[in-house]
Amino acid sequence: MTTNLELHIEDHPGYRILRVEGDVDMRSSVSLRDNLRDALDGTPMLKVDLQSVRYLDSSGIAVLIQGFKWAKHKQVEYCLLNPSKQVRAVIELAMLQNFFEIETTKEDG
Amino acid sequence: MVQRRFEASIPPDACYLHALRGFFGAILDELYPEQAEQMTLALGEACTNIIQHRGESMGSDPIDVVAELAPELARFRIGPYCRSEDVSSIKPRDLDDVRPGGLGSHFIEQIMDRIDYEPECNRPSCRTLVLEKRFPVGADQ
Repeated sequence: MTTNLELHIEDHPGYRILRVEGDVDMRSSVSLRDNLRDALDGTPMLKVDLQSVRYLDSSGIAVLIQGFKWAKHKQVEYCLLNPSKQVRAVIELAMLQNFFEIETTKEDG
Repeated sequence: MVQRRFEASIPPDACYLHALRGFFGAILDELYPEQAEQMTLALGEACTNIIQHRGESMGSDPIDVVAELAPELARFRIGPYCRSEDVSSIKPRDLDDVRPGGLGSHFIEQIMDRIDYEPECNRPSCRTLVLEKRFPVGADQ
C-alpha cells in the first residue's frame, strides 16, 4: 500500500532541496526520515521544502528535529523552506519557530 | 441546539489514519472552518497514540471515533484509548527538551479545551478518550 507522500530531490549549486508533498504522519514519516538522512550526504546545505505539505503531525516534527541533529553532526546547513500554513501552525504548537531556520521565498496564501 | 453525530471505525493500523482524517477533516471544515485543521490534528494524534501504545489487552479491536458536533461544542469520543491503569502516565513532555517524539499529547492539550478518560461501558478496564472544544455562542465560524 502506498503512502500519501511524495519526495523529490533537486540539486543546485551549493545546496540541495528535498521537496516534500502530501501528508506526513506516523506511517509516511518513516519514508521522510530515510530520505532526509540520505539527502544530507554530499551537499553543504539542505533545504527541506514544505510548501506542499497538507498535513504534518508530531511524528513529522520528530523527523524534522532528527534531521536538524543529523545535519549538525554532519556539519551540513539545514533549513525549512516555505512551510505551508498547516506546517507553520504545527511548528508554533511545538514552540519550535525559533529552533528551526525557516526560509520563505514566496507568499503562502 | 442542533447537534450532529458522526461515527467512524478503523483497524488499529497507521495506514487507515489518512482516511480517518479525510472523513472528519471534511466534516469539521464544513462546520468549524477556522478550527478544522487543528481539531483534525488532535484527532490524528489521539489515534496515533492508540496505535503506538496499544497494549495486548486491547488486541486488534478497531478504533471507534464518535463526534458530537454542535455550534458551541465539539465533542469526540475515541476508544479504546488506553488501559485504566495507564491514565496517570499520560502527560505531555517538557518542551524545553528539544528531541524527537512525545509531542502528540502536547498538541492535543494545546488544541482542545477539555481532555478526559472515561471508563468504557462494556470494558471497564479500558478508557475512552473524550476531547472537547468550546466555541463562543454566536461566534462567526
